[in-house]
Amino acid sequence: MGDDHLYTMKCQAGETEAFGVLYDRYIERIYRFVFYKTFSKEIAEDITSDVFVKALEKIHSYSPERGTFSSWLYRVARNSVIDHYRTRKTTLPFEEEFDAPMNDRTEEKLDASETLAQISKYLKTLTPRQQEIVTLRIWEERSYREIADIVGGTEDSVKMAFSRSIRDVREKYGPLAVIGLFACRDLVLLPFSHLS
Amino acid sequence: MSTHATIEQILHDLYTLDRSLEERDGEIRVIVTKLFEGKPNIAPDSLFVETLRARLIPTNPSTFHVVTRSTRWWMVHLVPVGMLAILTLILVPQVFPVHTEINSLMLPPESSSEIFISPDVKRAAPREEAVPALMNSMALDVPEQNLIVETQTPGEMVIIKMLSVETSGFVVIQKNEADVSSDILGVSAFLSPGVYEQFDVPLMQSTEVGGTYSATFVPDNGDGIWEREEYSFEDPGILSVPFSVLSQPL
Repeated sequence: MGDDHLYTMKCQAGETEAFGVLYDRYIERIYRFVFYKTFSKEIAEDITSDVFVKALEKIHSYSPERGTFSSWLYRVARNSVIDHYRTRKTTLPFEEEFDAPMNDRTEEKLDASETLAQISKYLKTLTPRQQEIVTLRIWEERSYREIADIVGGTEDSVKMAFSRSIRDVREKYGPLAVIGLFACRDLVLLPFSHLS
Repeated sequence: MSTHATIEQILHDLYTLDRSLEERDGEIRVIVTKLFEGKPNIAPDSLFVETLRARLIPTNPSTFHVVTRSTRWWMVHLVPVGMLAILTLILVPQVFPVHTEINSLMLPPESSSEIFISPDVKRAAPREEAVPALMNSMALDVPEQNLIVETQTPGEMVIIKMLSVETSGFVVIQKNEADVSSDILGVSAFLSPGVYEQFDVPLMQSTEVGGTYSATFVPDNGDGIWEREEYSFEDPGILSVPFSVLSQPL
């Protein structure tokens, strides 16, 4: 998104239409990011709305010198999620009823639930910060630099945290993860040669 | 980037950071792949997306104003100036108070409406609103305590000719009936120890021709607040003088 900066400048100059471009680019990503933390469609919609309202109101405070627009927007989203749960004095839920909108195909839904259950088991091994880093790297495909901008810390510390997270999961579930591979019907394209 | 390429990139990063993980490539690969493939397939509701977009970026741009840099400049640079002006207006009268020039002595203000205290209402008389004393008891020896009230004409205030006190307190005006002071008609502002001349005590109820009244200096109980129930008029040391109201002064 190299021209995010161009659109943010236009937006800062008063061209609200430019914000529409940014909105279209990031609405799904931010929604997913929030959803991965809340696992509730209604809450994710509420928080996502807050994120973009805040982003538009505070667009003048964004400066490219402090990072990419993407990182800035993710930070706003992250803080919005934290604020949401802080006011309710509850911990962030990781496993909630999977009520996201999906095609009404029972078989796929069951598969997704099973996979999610397995993923949940892995990620519960980790601290909240580790979970965040892992999901941002693997699910959001954010670079380590961006992840550091979003969650705080240095790029190196984020890399170390990520590798440590995978090691922790491996230490707990390494052999079981391999067993899980054969039990999981949708993982058919994996390179298995190294297992022999 | 394809799924496979993404997974390979992640694994490459991991093994660069921690060589020991590469020894467990099989298990690590499974974990990373499972995590990658297990990403929930989430998409926001299209109606939600459209509604939010319309709310944020209305067709009429004037309904949602983006704070631009030029607006921010105006707010940043001119608001402090306005705040400073307001602060100046507040502080200047206090730093340079307006005095009523009559003679070399500082006399109490003629109009006491701003220092009127309802006899039945609790109120703290700020020191700044107190009747300025002619002589501060801390600077000079205060003459023997005295309260002088001359014959009054009917009206909504009583003029105290002279008050000299060693303690702080209030001058209370009461109506005398059968030589007994009863209703409180008015209370002065808080008075510090000192000497006062020609100051007014405003009244809630006007004095009447032929009526008899009393002016009593009631010492403050220490809190600077006049509360009727906290004060007693039975103290024998209290200064109290009767006065009458005539149609014309003598």
